[in-house]
Amino acid sequence: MENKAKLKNLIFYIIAFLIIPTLIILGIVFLPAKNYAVLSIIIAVLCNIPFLLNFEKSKTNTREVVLIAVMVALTVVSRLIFAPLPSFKPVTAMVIITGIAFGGRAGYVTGAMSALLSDVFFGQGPWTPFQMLCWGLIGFFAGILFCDKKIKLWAVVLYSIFSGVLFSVVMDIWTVIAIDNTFNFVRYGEVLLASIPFIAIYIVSNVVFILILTKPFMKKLTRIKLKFDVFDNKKISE
Amino acid sequence: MIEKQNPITILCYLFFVIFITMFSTNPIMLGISFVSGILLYCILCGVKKTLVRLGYFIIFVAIIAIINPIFSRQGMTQLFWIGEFVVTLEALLNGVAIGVIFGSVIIWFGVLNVLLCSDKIIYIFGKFTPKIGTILSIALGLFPKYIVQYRKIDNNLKGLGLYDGASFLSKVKLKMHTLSTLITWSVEGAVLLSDNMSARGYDLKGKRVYGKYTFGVADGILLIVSLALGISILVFMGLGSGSFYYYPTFKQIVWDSSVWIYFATLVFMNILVVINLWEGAKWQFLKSKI
Repeated sequence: MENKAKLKNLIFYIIAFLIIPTLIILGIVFLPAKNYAVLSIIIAVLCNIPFLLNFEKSKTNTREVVLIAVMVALTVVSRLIFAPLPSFKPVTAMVIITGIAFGGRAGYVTGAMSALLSDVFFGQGPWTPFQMLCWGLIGFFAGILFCDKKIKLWAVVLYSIFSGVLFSVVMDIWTVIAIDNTFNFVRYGEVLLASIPFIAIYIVSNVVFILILTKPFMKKLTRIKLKFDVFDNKKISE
Repeated sequence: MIEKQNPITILCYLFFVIFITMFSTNPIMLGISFVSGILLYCILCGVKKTLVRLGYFIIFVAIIAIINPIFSRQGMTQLFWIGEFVVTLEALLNGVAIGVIFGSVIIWFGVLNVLLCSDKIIYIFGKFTPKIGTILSIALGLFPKYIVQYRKIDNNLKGLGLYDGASFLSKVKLKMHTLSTLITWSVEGAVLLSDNMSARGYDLKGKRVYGKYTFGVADGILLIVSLALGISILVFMGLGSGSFYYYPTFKQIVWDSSVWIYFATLVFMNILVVINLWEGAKWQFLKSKI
């Protein structure tokens, strides 16, 4: 039974990570008008779908669904609390901690839904699917790397630095495509240079929040996990 | 009436409008899209907000129009030289066009933000993935409560005098402490909530998400019209009708069969404006004048 579940998960990951590049290549080859802005938005929306469907099909019970909703609400609150400070937000840290505590699947849903819901207040735009994808993947890989293992704080800090850079780099790809309608390396370099202060703020905020939050939050969430018997990842993946 | 329209219909319509705007390079098409977007936004949100949005739009267009000649040195009509760089009229106007495309898309997303309130987002997600719909609706219900509770905890800390003369880092630390307290308070409550849900039969199979939106005749008509017009406009644009290029110099705009595509776009993008104005006129007409 467990092997079958593992196989199922493996097939899902292969599909998710093979379909996306295939779509990109197909779009570039076959689309008559080379409109990369539209293409990139379609791809971002499509990339979100397998993860959300995987969550929908998984055997999560009511407690887990509600706990994810609570984490989403807390993440949105944390983004609103720090609204006066530009880019200095604990969202990435919250998503990473959720991923570590509750597993990759819950991390993805928390990241993606926090982006969607907080953009109701910060303004929806073509960037929403990209933010959903970025924060979702950050939570997802946090779960895969650290969930159910002994947490080394330095590794988490390293991961948070990496994800701050990743977030900025991916969002810059979108900016370049949006301005030029093609991908232009010169312009990408310029945009990256211009966004270095933002990357620095992302990195500093992620490190600060991870250092302050990880210990108390993990203690509380692990206790909840044990007390109410939720997010036992072997059970979910069946 | 638009408020009662099925969210999926509205999403489908706005999806086509935004796609047509993003695919078009023709200045006439862009003008149509921009004017219709602004008109609809004005009807929905009032003049004041529209003016603010227009202000941002002009700044955005100006920035891209200035930046574009720096990167693209194509074009035949030279305007002036800045050091080594030549600034051409084509590059300048191409920048304006790119600015207008993205300005219009952002205005249409503003319309989407108004038309698709959080209720409708829950409805759309709930249709396809009920679990995600549940998560969204619970999170939206919880977070105003969390903000109130957060303020309470924060005020307590302030009352204790912890914020007096605190440095930036310790202020951030205090905020995080508050958030941590909020987690303790909220998570146990969440488990209680979920047990209540289970007791009321949430775990049973065949559950659906409640939505007050039905799919009526008006929805059907709007859906069919937006599918038919949207797809045909996109197909004709793909075939080259109403195409336009900026380099090496502008394409001449000729008034041939491509007039139809302008007309179709004009009609398509103004459907909601017309419906809104018609409803307003009907309301004025039917209002009791005693």
